Amino acid sequence: MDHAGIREMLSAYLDGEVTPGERSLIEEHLKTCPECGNALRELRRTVEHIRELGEETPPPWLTRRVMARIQEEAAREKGLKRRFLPLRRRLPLQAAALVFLSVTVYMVYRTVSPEMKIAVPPVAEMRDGAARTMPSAPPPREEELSRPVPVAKVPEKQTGAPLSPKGRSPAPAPRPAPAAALPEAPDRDEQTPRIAPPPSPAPIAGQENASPRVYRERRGVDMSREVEDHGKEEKDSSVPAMRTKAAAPALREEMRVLLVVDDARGAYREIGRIAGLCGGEAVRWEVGDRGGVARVRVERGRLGEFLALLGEVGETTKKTPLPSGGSGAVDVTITVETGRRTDG
Amino acid sequence: MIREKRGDIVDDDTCLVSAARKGDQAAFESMVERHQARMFTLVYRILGDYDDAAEVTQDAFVAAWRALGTFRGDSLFSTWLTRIAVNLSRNRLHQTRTRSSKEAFSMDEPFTGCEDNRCFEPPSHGPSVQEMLEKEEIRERVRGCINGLEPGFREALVLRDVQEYSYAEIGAILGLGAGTVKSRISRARDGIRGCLKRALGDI
Repeated sequence: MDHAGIREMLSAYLDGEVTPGERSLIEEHLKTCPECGNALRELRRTVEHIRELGEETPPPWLTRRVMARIQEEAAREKGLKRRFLPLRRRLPLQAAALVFLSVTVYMVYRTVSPEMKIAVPPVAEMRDGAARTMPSAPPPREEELSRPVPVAKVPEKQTGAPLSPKGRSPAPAPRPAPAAALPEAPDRDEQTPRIAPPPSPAPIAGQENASPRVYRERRGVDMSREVEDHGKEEKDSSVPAMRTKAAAPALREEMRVLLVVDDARGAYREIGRIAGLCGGEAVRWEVGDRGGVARVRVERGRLGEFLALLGEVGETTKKTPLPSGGSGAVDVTITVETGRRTDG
Repeated sequence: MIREKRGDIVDDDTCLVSAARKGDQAAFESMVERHQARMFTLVYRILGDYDDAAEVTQDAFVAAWRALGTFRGDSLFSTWLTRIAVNLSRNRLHQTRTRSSKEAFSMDEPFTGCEDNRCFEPPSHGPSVQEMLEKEEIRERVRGCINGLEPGFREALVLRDVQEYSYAEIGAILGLGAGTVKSRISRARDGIRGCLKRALGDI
């Protein structure tokens, strides 16, 4: 073995970490090689120097600090354990908390839910008197729908006088019902006269004649106001925004459309959406699964657009012709029916 | 001698370890007291910085306390503890590598007998001032040479020549094969020999 090989083994040889074969090889070589003998001597001396460094003295506080940290940790762990109760005690507590929470949520829901329902505009509208008439009296409605149109023109001639101030003068009497027997909905008829007389401007009020006015009101225009006023009578202020808007005194024409669809509920949603698209608003809403009536107020200029979109919702039949010329809003009463196709 | 001493410690450790594992802090305190000088020396030789060594030694004991549950007694407690201390030292070295390289021993700097404004005062009797200074100079040079080694070689050298572990134990602590341990120790010693010869002229 050459010097390099022997030198590499000298360190291990010094530690007795060589095999007996290697040991005898090294020792044989050392006998004849003073250089390697010198290298071994220096190596041994180096190791001695290192060992002479001895043990260092650690800082006197070392043990104390180690134990302080350990105690601190143990205390923290204990605290954590106390904070997290064992499962057998934690489970019943959690179960009780869950039950309590569920009951609370249910109670809150029960208390609040009616208000939530009221807050939905269409449903709120439906609560008005007309809703009652719809399912129970379909034949009269048919009759009414088929009534000739000219009525729609009437208010245009006599407008201003009776109608404009009416919104500001709610009918004082409760609901004695003079029974101005119109075929449609008895309930509504009952109210119309109450609401109708709007004799606010003094001179005009004097000229008033009850029966024609009732007729005008009913036929001509302002069914919505009837609804509104009725609402006022009942002191129901749940849909203030719509009421206020609708109460604006203006002459409106009316047209009627029969809409046959498969899904009445879906149709109402669509009508609402379309009305919104055309800048209109829902003024009356009587909904049912099988059909109902929706009244939408649309600006005359956008009426064509509205009717076109309505045609996409279902099969439409115009029961009254389009109002001619003029400006202002038109109340479109849409009778929604399901399940059967119109005969014309 | 030392090996025998270590053997004695081992026997006592077995009882203390089992007590400490049950949460006996007093037993662990005894273990800290027993091993602290040895652990501190190991860490100080590897790091070359007194304050860092004190901190890392503390960390090693705290880590050992936390991990006592995982100590299965396959190796000696002292070996297990040494492994923790070496790993933490390695981490610390990694964090402060730049700093340690800056503070590495300079061969050109003559030893004055004073360090950090502390001067070595000779005792009234015993070795002469000259002898003391020479001895301390040599020790300082040796420490400097050890610090100048690459960390991997330094660890192997310290475990062998300071802690007197066998090659097999060193292999277990550092996770190295027998051949690597042998060559690292050999090269580390060779490095120190060369370094000391350059610094002192003769060994």
